[in-house]
Amino acid sequence: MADEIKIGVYVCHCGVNIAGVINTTEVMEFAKTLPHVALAKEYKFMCSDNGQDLIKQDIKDGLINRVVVAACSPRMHEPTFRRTVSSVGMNQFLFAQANIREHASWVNMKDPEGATRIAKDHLRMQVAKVAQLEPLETQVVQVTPASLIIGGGIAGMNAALDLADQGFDVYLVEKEPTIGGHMAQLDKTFPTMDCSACILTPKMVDVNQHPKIHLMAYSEVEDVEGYVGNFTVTVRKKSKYVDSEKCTSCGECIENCPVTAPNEFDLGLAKRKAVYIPFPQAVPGVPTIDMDSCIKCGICADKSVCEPEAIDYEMKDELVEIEVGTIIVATGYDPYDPTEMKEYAFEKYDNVITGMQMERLLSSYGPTLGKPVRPSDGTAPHTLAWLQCVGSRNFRPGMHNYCSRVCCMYAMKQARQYKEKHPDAKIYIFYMDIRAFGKGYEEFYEIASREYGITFVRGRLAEVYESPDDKSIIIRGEDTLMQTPIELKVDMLVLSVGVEARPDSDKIAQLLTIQKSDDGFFLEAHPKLRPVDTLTAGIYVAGVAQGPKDIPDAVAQAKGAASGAAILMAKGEVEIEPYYSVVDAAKCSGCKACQSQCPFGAIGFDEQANIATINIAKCKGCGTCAATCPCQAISQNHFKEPQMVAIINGVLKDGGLY
Amino acid sequence: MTLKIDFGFRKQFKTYKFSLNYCYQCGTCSGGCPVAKLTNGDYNPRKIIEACILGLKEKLTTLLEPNVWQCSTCQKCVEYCPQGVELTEIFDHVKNLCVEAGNYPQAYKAQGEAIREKGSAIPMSNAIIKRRERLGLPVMKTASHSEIQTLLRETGFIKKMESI
Repeated sequence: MADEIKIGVYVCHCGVNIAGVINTTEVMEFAKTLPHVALAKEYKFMCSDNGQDLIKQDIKDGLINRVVVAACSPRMHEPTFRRTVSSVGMNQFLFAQANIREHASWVNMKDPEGATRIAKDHLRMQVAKVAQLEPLETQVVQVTPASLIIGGGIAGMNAALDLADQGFDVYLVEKEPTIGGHMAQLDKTFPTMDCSACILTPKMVDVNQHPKIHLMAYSEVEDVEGYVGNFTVTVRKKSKYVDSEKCTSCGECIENCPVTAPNEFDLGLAKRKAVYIPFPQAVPGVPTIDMDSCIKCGICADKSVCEPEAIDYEMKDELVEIEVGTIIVATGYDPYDPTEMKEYAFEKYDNVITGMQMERLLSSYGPTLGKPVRPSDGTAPHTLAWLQCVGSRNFRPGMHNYCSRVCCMYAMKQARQYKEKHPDAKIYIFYMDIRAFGKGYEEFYEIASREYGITFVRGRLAEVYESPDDKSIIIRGEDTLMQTPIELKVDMLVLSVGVEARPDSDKIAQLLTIQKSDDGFFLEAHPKLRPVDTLTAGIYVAGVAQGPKDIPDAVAQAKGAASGAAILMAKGEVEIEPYYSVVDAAKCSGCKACQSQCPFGAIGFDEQANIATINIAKCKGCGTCAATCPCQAISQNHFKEPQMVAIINGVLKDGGLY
Repeated sequence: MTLKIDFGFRKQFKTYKFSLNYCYQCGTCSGGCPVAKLTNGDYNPRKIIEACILGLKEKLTTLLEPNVWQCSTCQKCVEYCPQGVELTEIFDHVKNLCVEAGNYPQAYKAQGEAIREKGSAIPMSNAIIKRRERLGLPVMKTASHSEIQTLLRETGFIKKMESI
């Protein structure tokens, strides 16, 4: 670099966000005194067109060849200014941003003088660093026009259909024997009272028949390797012990199976056989043998039962490798298990059930064919109570602080459904606040109390007892609006349990190197502006896997995630930042210490030359190897030692922070 | 009747017992409270918490509505509270304020006197001692009276007892 270093410094006011606290003119004048600074300017909004034009003009005029903008966080506008400088021919990696908003003005609003001093320090560091930067070139990689979708619930299916309709190959991986997710367990959906199966099953069929969707039910993602645009995914196709090619879904095996086991789909309210399909409209419709309960009696395998001889007890799991460019995580949720809340005695008393169980009792293809009964004696309950916020909005250990967002609505929906079947039934809903926030939800709530005569009691139940004579439930609480304690005998108590992240979400997060938020759900890249992206490029999230939401929201998010993935795949190529480590062959002693430390498996080894090699496509530039190397043979090309030292010197010199 | 909000009291209380701020008045405490049940809601732990949050000092310490002295400190409310509000500790503080206002049941003072004089709130009666003997239970040891005296003096308990 024979050229003289000429740095342009631009101080942004960010309206009053920065200039309201910091003396920007003083900061600008200070910049002019720093080494290599050719010019310094201030402007109201550097990110605006006019602000960017200032920088462009100075570069075009040959006044500067490096740029520092003192403004907001680089998370916000680094990409903006990189585009600005590269549009007029400057290498975008010769740009640096000093964060004087989040790091100075916002956190020191009551101390303008101090904030100005801190802003100068930040600026001084970035000016010192930018003088040391080297031009880098971005790389362009191809994007495989195929997508992996993990989870075949309503979110996963919608994303799959949207992508497949655009012509991309979709691999839809579902761990259960059928797609459909929790929505398949529901009877009706609020607030329109659409029959859940009627709107869901056509979608399931569409997914199964779409030529671009490769449905992999009863399968789990085992391993994910690679990076944006080029993921290699290993999927374990769990053995069904029934050959899908030969099976005609006639159901004879199920008829003849002598073994019963609790039915997961009906949450233990009914039994199923050891060979089963979860529900009649299951997709695919091929039965699965549950080997934990199967006694291998051989009845189903007999030719008189299974004519096409599709049963194979010796069938093994199969590992399939697929290549995809993008991944959408739609792994859904588990209903909260209220066993731990001993005061509600869910496991102890027969007539205390969960909302999900009530859903199965109300379902026309549920264990009671849509006529809810008391589990203790099979009679229809006359008095029922629903209790809200079970496991949600609770700060006790093991419970969730968040609102699950669906329980208010599903409790009212179930109560209305029961009232329709039994108009003389007496129904109470115990709540703290009714959160009817969606389109048409408030109206639904109004009608529930006014027209259906459901009694809403503001108060959380404290404890329940069982009446010894008829196994009815005695509930105790306070009506906080009437300010009186109440004790009621009800025939059945429904616990409106919330939703929680699945226990295997940790494994998924680890496989995909994506993050989780405090509540256990997957973390989006930005809560408002990037709600379907994760922080790992090429991986998107949809449905309740990202946070509690109802069906309309899950579908909307799925469509958003599909759109995000489609943008990448339609472009066909993606730029990746040239942030990777470089090995100095002369210094490398071949000890392989770096290889064992690399979290991305990006370090290989050249046996002949006895040196470490770096796969720059896999390397994320984290620097673990550089820190590990005992010979200091590895450096990060965007984070070199002279650059670090320049920053430290920049802040220490002339009084700096100390 | 108008109630006066004591803002100083409110601010001080909410700082002193921070968990007070988490209460969302769900009524689980009052629903499970055995005293609330026996008094048919006359005593109501939720309403005491509400009065603390609102800063209704007069209601709490002078009018005794509800009467905080009825709390038996069984801790059921603390067990049930979904927000982790330290109810009984808050009630202890309210009781202290009641004592400062000279508003406390005589029985509590008598109990304090008993501790000062005998070293225990409920001294062993002869009947209990005999029954323990009959059941073959070991003799109950009482704590050293002089040590208790020292503790009570050093913690300012005795002075307090004399001042009220």
